[in-house]
This record gives sequence, C-alpha cells and structure tokens, in this order.
Amino acid sequence: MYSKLNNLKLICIAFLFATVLVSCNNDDDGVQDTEFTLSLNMPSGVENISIKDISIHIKDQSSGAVETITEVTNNSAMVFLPQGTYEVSVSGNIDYDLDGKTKTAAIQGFKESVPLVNMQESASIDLFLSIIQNDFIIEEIFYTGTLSPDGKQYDGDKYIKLRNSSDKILYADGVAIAQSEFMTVEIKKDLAPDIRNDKFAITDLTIVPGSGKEHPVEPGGTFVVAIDAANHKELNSNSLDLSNADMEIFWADLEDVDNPAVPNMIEAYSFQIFHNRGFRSFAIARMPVSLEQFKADHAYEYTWEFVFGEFKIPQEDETFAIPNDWILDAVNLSVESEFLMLPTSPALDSGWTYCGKVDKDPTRYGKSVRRKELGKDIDGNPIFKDTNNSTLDFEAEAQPSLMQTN
Amino acid sequence: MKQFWFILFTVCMQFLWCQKPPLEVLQNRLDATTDFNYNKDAGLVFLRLKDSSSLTSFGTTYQQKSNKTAIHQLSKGGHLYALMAATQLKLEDSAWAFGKAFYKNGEKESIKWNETSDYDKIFPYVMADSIGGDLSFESYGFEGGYLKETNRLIWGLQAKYVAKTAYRTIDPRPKNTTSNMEAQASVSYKVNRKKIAALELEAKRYTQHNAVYFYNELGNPILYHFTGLGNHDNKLKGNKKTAYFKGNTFGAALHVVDRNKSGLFASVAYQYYQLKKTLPTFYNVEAANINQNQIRARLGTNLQAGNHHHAIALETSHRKRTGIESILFAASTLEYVKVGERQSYKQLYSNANLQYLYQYKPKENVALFAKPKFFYYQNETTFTTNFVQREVIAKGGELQLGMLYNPNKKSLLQIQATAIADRKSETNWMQKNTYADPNFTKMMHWNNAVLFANYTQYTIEAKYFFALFSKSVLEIKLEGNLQVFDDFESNKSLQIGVQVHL
Repeated sequence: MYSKLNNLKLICIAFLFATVLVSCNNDDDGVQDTEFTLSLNMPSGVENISIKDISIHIKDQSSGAVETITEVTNNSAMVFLPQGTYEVSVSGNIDYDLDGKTKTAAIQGFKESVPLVNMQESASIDLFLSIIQNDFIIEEIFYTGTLSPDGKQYDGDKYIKLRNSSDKILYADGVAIAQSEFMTVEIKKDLAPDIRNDKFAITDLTIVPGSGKEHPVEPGGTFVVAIDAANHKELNSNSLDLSNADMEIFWADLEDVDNPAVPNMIEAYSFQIFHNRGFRSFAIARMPVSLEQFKADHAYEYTWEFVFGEFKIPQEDETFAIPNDWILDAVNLSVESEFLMLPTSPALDSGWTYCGKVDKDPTRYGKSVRRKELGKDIDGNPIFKDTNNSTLDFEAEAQPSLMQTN
Repeated sequence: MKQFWFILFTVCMQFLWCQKPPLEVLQNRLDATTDFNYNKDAGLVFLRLKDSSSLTSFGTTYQQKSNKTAIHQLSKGGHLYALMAATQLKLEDSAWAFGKAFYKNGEKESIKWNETSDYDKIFPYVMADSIGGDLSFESYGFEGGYLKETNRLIWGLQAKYVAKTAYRTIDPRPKNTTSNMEAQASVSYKVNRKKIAALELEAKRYTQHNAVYFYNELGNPILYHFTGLGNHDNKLKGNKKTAYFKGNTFGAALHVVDRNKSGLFASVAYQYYQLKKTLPTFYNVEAANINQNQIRARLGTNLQAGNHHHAIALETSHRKRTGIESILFAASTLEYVKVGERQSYKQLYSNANLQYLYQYKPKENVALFAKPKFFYYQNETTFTTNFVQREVIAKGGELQLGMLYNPNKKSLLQIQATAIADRKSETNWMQKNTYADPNFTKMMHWNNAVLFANYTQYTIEAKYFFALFSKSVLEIKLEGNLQVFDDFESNKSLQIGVQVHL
C-alpha cells in the first residue's frame, strides 16, 4: 500500500511537470509570405515602349493593407506578400514610337482578384493606353437623390453634369449618356464574350438632340442633364432647384412629369434610371453613326453562368455596346463593401468612386461624386484632374454642386 | 418552457426518497475543505464524494449588474431572473441519479461592437457594428446523470443540454440562437481506503446561428466581421449579415482524490476546442476557424490536526488559441470559394496560483476559515497580418474569510467575504499601422484601458438556511460584489436567491 501511494505521488508530480513543459512550448506560427511575381503586358499596337514611371498598388482584400511598387525590371516586379487575395492596379507613363516620333502616354491596368496561396505565385496584368479625348468630361454625378423631411426617398432631383474642359466651343448635340450593363457589384461567371477591353456594354442610352450646333457650351462651361428639370425645393425642402437644367430625361411611357421649358433627351434605349446606391458605371460618348446604324452594328449577345449553390444555370442576354473609341469619358461607381469588378476597360477608368461605404448606406442621400479641381487656367476656368482613375480623380461623398448654388 | 415545468414537477415528486435531513447534507456540502479538495470544474467523481445523500432543490434567483468598466464587446450591466430545480437521488445500494433543469430570462445592457452571442467561445470572429445596444435573452437547460459504485470502481455518465436565444427589437436587430450539448464519462479506481484515481472524458458540441436584421428602409450601418484586435475582413464588410458557428470540444482529465480530504490530491486536464465559422449567404463557405488547446494541473495536500485543517494547492493552466482566416476568391456574385487559409490570430494565456486553506472548528457547529491565494497571469494576443500585439502581465492576491454556523439543528448560516487585488506589472501595445477607421482606434483604446487597469474586488455572500418542516429547508442567499478601478467607474452586482431543499 505504501509503495502504491508513493507511486501515485510520483505520477502526480510527473504530470505537473509535464504541464509546465507543455505550457512553455511556444512554437512559431503565423501567416506565411508568398513570393509574388507580377508581369506587365504592355499595350498592343505601339512599338519601342519604355516605362517613364510606374506605380503598382497591390491591396490585400481582407486586411485592406496596400503594398506599392514603383520600380520594375524587364516589365516585371517581385514582392513578398502575406497569403491572401489581392487587388492589383497599375498606373504610369510610357514613351513609345509613332510615325517616327516619340510620344508619351498614360497607361492603366487593373486586376480585381489575385489569390496568393502558395509559397510562389505569379500573375500577369494587361496594360492599356489611357483614352483621353479633348471633349466633354463628366464633372459630377448626383445619383443618390435626397430624403424628404419625413425621411422618405426622393428620386426626381438626380442629375449628371458635363464640363467642357477644352479651349474651344463644344456642341453637346449628339452626346450620348449611358449606364453600364454590368454592375460593379456582380461577377457574371464565364461571361462570353467579354468585350470590356473593346466596348462599353450598356443598359440604357439617352442622346442630346440637335442638328449639331443647337447646344453650344463655351470653354469651361457646363451642361446639366436632370432626371426632372424642376424646382424640387417646392416639394422637398432638402432638395434643390433643377428648373434651369440644360436637358431633362423624360420617360414618355411612364408617369413622368415633363417641364416644357427644358428640352428632353432622346430615349434611345431602355429607361435611364440612375441606380441610387451606385452600382453601375456612367459613360458619355459621341456616336459617329445614326442611332439605327449603331443598333444594327453594335448589338451584343452574351452568355454566362448563374451559380446558385450547387446549381449552375446557363444564361443568355442581349443588349448593345459602344466601342471604347467613341467614349469621351467614363466613371465607375460602386460601394467598398460590395465591389467585385470594373464594367469598363481600365483604359477608360481603372478605379471607382462612391457615395456610401456599404450597400444601402443610409448616409448616402444628398451626396454626389465630383471631379477634383486642380486649379484655374489663364481664363479663370477650372482645371480638373483626369487620369482615367475615378478613385483618384473624384471626390467621393461630396455635397452636390447645384445644392451649393441653390 | 413546457419541458421545464414538466421536469420541475417530476423532480419535486422525488422528495419522498430523501434520506438525511437536508440541513445536514447542505452543511457537508458547504464545508470549505470540500470545495478546496473537490475542484468545482472537475467531474463526476466529485459529485459522488461531496455527499452520498439524496437532496432535491428548487428555487429562483434575481441578479442585477452594473458593469460600466468592461470591454465594449461585453455588456455594461443588466439583470437576470432564473428558475432552477435539481435533484440527487440514491436509487439503490451505491447508485445515484441526478438531474437539473433551469430557465433564465434577462437583459444585457449596452453591448457595442459585438452582435454575436457567447463572446468567450467565438472571439475574435464576432459580427459587429458601431451602434450596438441592449440585448434580451432567454435560455433553458437540462442535465442528468448516473453514478454507480462497486467494490473497486465508481463509474458515471452525464449529459447536458443548454439552448439560448438573444435578440434586440430595434435596429440593428441581432437574432442569435445557440445550443450546447455535453456528455461526460468517468471511471474511478479505488486505490486504497482513502485514495481514488479517476479518468474522465468529455465531449461537447456547440452551435450558433447569428443573424442581424435591419428594418429601416433607408439602409443600415456597416456590419463588420472582426478577425482580431480591431482588425476585420474587408471582403466580408457590408451586408453579409449572417454567420453560423459550429464547435467541438474534447477533453480528458486525471484526478487523484482523497475520500477523507486528507493527504495528497492532484488533477491534470487537457481540453481541445475547435470552432468553424461559415457564411450561409455564400452557401456555407468557411470563413474562419478557431483551434484552442488548454491544459490545467493542480497539486495539493491536506493536513488535519484536531480541529485545525490546513491545505495547500498549486494550480497552473495554459491556453493557446489560434485563429485561421480563409482566403476567399469571388468566383461569381454569390459564389465565394475558399482557396487557402492563413493563421493571423494567436492568444496565449498562462496562469499560476498558490492557494492555502486554514479551517478551524472550535465547536462541532462552527467552522471558520481563511483562504489566501497568490496569483500570476500572462495574456498575450497577436494579430500578424496587419501586425498588432497586446500583452498583459499581472500579479495579485486574494483573501477569503468565512464562517459556517449551525446554531441549532434547525438553521444554518454561511457568511463569506472575499477581497481580490489585481495589479498589472506589465502592459504592452504594439501596432504597425493605424486603423483605417478612427472608430476602431477609439474602440481599442477603451478596451486596452480596461484590460490594463488595476482593480480591487470585494464580494460578500451570505446564505441562511432554516428548516421549514421536518424534511424541508428554505435557503435565502444574498451576494454583493464591488469591483473598484483606479481610474474608472466601479462595477457592482447584487444577487438575491431563494431555494427550497427537500
């Protein structure tokens, strides 16, 4: 019995020491780094390219941490990053040869999601020459509407403002306004054909009417297209006065109110309703052909796969698409919590801007996105930032400019 | 609720089988040496050894708390009503059955940055928003078991089930339902007349469905999925309003105990806990995993000399919790695919304490005790992806004084007073990058201030038992608690309970 008891004591002491030893064990663990190599695919159609300057932003989609690279070797960059999923955006300037002359152009690239899960990973990103036309730009989009004093949504006071940022008179006749077919908050799986690098697929289209000289806009001047050109303050004290808008969007087949003093946009395709949470992109374009010719030549049929749990259902849709060469300016809109992809080519816009940080953000009402002003030119006209990257070019959640003047 | 009342009724009918007078049974259970030797967290074998008599109890409790100084994720106060019924019945020679049922209803006040229940199980993977609010809750539970003693063995089985729902009736509206199932098996070997060696095994299954709703048609604030130390998963931020948690616990323990509460006693226990978080909105893709290992050990000895009882015990525990986030790739709008994982979160908690018990029985009906304790603990939490680390090292002491007085065969009085002094000897906070949202900086600043604060805590507990009839005892319990901080408002609580023992 005595020896049994002693054994028990020894066992107890042994267990206690074992506990202490196990407790002291502090194995190294943590996040593994991935050696990530990014290859830059230079724009096609140009020769003898040399990079003047480049900025590569690699953003961890989970933590939000951003790694920036400003030097590349042989069109390639290598960096060590924690495992995760990353968004890659590239901007910079290149020199290239055209017709025996050296030209400089801005380049853009964007890749929504790159998973880094192994010790070594590589990816490539296509770069595009920024398309910058010497024509109208989108200066502001007020798409959220306002709230009435009793807290209800008020949609009629939305507008888009264009600016003549050139040094000559521009005519708004024939300028088209379109929203994107695809939303920034969705991914259509196995989209085919994916035409974004060549065309802008549209969900609606309106066109400024006129023979070509009916709507002049002076250098530095603006052109406002309102959903309803009315003094909305009469119905909603939180709203603004759009009765002096240049154009309004009137839906003849819906119960819409027309202001006869303000000309109506041509309803070219579908009903143009500004998504008040900012899920679609906007573009303005000049069509070199008639509307009928455009519809005949630029129909866009595409297929994709709708995934619902275990079910995968093939889908077919059809719409129209505007060639990127016709686009004067484009702005991607989204919300940070929902962003999944760009509906435009990075050549048109490699970023996005927003009102509201989350879907159905209650603070988004009465806010707009406004292009940043860099200063004034010699004539006192504002100079706006335009790098074809809305993330950098626009002030998000701004006070609508027409609300300030009303 | 109907099941609860049925069980309560059934339990009440068992009072006819009571053997010893309840007051005597309670006096044995309340003896300070019983608690010291038979660790409250330990298993079935201790139920057998505490006493072998039948006892049935049912009662009600009310508790009110004010916890203004607490981390944001925990409540700042609240109240609770509880109903309870429990019984231990001797069925035949050397066999016992026991059971318990309870119902609780209450409210937790002012929980912020946490819309998920059972924070101690789920952290750091809570859903959170900047609004928060009060949370109503309701829970019920049942447990039952069986113990059998033979010549050389004592074996037993126990099962337990607890369900809880928590909700809020204004935006943001969490609606959380949890369930917790436990099973325990124990086999003990009688080494000799005094010593028993016991092996206990346990298994638990935990689930929580966590959803947040918003009725405001104009929209809702951002909902975050936290990943640790003020960090969140940007990919899941926004409107991913549901999460599902499923966890398993497995444990084993070895005990050496003494029937007579004399001589050596020891315990060592190991527990493994694993929890998975999935997102129902995205077809149950796995968002995160928790793995936790915990080991505890206790070694002590008793010395009895006449009316004086001395006991000393050394206790240590170590817990390591790691958090692993899934790397998700958006294959389509609602199709998030797990393509990898990364371990970003780690918490290491160690503690050790030395306890001493002195009990003096000047007369048979009076017991006085003093129980000093010295403790040390260290808590280090690290988030590696966006490096943040917090460390707390603390030392302190506790003194408990108590009295158990049986003035006559018809009443019993127990009074206990405890004072705890917790002093932080070292606190560290390191952060590589500031938080993108200043609200997170404010949240962590407050949480750190609370965790780094020194405090002194006073508790007084009084229980008065008196015989109602020949085989029934009424218990009235009063407990007050005051936690005083150096630079913050004090926390207080008050609990009143009434029980009938048969």
